Amino acid sequence: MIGQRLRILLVEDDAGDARLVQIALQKTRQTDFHLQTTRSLETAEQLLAAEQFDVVLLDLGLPGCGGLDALRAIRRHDNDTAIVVLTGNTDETLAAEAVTEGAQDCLHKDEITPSGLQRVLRYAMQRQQMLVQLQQTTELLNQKNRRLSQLCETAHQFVDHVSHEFRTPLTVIKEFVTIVRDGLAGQVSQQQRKFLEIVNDRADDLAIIVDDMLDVSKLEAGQLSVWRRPTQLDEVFDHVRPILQRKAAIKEINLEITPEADLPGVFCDPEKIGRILVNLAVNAIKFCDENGTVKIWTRNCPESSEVIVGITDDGAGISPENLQRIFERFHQVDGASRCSTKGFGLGLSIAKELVDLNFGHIDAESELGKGSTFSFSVPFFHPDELVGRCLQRIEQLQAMPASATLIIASVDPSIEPAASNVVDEFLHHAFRGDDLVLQTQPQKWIIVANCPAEEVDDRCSHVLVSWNEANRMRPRGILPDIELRSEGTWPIAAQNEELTAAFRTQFVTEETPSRSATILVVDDDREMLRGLSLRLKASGYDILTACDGAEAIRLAGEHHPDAILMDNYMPVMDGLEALGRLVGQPDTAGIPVIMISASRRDERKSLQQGARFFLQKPCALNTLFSALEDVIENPVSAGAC
Amino acid sequence: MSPKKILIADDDRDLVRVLQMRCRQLGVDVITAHDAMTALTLIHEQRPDLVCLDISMPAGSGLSVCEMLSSDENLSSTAVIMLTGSNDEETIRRCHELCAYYVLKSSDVWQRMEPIVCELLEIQPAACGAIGAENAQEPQEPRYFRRGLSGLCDVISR
Repeated sequence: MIGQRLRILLVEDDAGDARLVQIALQKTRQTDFHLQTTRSLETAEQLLAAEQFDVVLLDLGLPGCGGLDALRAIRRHDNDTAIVVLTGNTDETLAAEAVTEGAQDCLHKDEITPSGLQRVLRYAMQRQQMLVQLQQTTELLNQKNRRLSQLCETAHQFVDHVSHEFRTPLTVIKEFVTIVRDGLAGQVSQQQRKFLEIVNDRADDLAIIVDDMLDVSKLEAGQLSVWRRPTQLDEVFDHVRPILQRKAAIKEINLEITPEADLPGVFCDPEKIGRILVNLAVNAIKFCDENGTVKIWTRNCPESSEVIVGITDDGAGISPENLQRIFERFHQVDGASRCSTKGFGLGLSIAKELVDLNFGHIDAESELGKGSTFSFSVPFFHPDELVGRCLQRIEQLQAMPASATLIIASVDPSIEPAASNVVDEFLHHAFRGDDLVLQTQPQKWIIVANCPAEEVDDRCSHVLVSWNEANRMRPRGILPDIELRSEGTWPIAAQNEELTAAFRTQFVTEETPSRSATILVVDDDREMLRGLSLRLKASGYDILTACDGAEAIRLAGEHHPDAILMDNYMPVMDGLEALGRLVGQPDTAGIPVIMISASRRDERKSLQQGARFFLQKPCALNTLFSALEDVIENPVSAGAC
Repeated sequence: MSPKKILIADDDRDLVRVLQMRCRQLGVDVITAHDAMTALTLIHEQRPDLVCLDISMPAGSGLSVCEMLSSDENLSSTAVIMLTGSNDEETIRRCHELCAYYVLKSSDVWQRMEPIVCELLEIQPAACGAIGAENAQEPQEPRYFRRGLSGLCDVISR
């Protein structure tokens, strides 16, 4: 700075004070400076507009400008020049305020010395320069950020678009291969069939890669919503068994799927759990040698309110270094994929995220040469516990202290089960994975949302707007309004007692008049079963459920329900056959049966076989309820033969 | 009784062809379309019992065809299967809202579709004759989890 020509603007109305500054300046070692003095703010502003100055010495006691007004006025017009305010006032806070408002320093007029002045000027300019640079860098960073976001978005869209275009050709491949394999295009030899199975299997692998890529994309965009609901794990096992058995057969590996019997109900998104199982099992099968064994097992852990699901293989095992990084995205272990598609190494990282989304945890154990076990937990359907897990997860995800809001969603109590299901799915979509959505009755949901108090109204109105929009576009008539009500917001702390207490009070179901009657509901469609059971329970009935005719007969014999509601088209044994057997057995002959079927043709047969009523699907709930009430009141039909 | 009729619409002709083969095996008549406009026209003219639609087709989307069907008195009871490569939540929910069955491409499509087709058209699944012995023992694939609840959907309209 010394040796550089310093241009200083002094804004001081008092001639004596101005002179003091001039003298001090002349005595500094700064030999080359240009001092311009002006007595008013207006001329100062004009001068600043016309010329470039390095620093402004500004008297705070200018006539007509109270306090820091002069400072603010100059800053409004000029952001680049350093400003040092001069004051006769000993007020410390004024000095601090001046710096906040844009001055670099504050000098007391009585303390102006040559060396002091020089130092102040030097540092003021330096600070100003740094400030300007900081602003420029920030702007540059913002620009780059925007550009990066754009690129990222483009990449996502590309992946999404390309990925799902793979699906049609894959389907065509699989379908034609299946047709030839099944002999529909001419006889096939054993070997040909085997080769075609390999083609089919590889097409499956490609499909899994596509699924994984799309899932990763959604997970990143925070767009993967979960539909958690009370689930029976053996439902999930039944769903994945055929796929896994086929894969194991091709690689000639023994696959044992042995879930424990009578597992308690869990709370999760069954499709996601299915994906996790498939990902883990596919890995296990890949890493096994011929004639190896893969075991899929479960362990009931009531002490931690969860079921552990595990996959154990006796393959090559994983080294400790790899094991540490096994759940990282794109991490791949070498040397195992003997005739298997390598993939991108996404499967395990996705599995981990999905387990986490379902309030569980995932573990991997392995011994080189012996094999590996991957296991994950699925929580019981214990609402209290679930709230705890949800809150724990929110706390871990958020860097800053988080709060949770209890929101109650309700609809008209006379809502039909199918409509209730649509609302359930919608609510899970509208509230994201961080939030817990629990349906307690057909018309009521309790939501624990990751949301601070000030955002609650916004969130709720957002949800309602989406619902209205969806409603408007519904061709088959609108569904009832959803009412959202906040019960309070609490910070998430170690115990969360208040929140849990508030949650519990909501969960206590209202006293429903018990009708002291047990209904056995039989349908292979589990969604339908769940919806109808909920509705019947809400009306005070006790419910038993079965998914096929054989199970229905067994339960009817054991429990002697007051009535049976039975669908016709079911696996193992259909409704009509079951009906015949029930009527034929003395211990179940007296139980009235209401047959439900989509086909009118079954009516005559049903009634002939001894059903009390035949209801054609789709049927209104009122009709169903009337029929039930009738048969319960009149267990033996008047004209029964 | 005249045989049941299915309309299959997808711009991928190979896919249409293979599904057509499968449906014919069940004794069902098949009409085909490769874009949304033709599909809609054929549905109006020939009143199929079941319609299988791709979502991304030229001249309109399968979803809008489905919407148009629901708002037409005479056609609103036509059963619809939406066969698509898209598995995002929006699409699935939209299918449910329209009371259509949803089947994802690149899963075992015919294995998922056959039970739905058979139940909706009230016909028996393909006889085991033409199929290899081991397939007959294959465990019956349970319905796709998120089947549209077509069974009770009409109730909602009241």
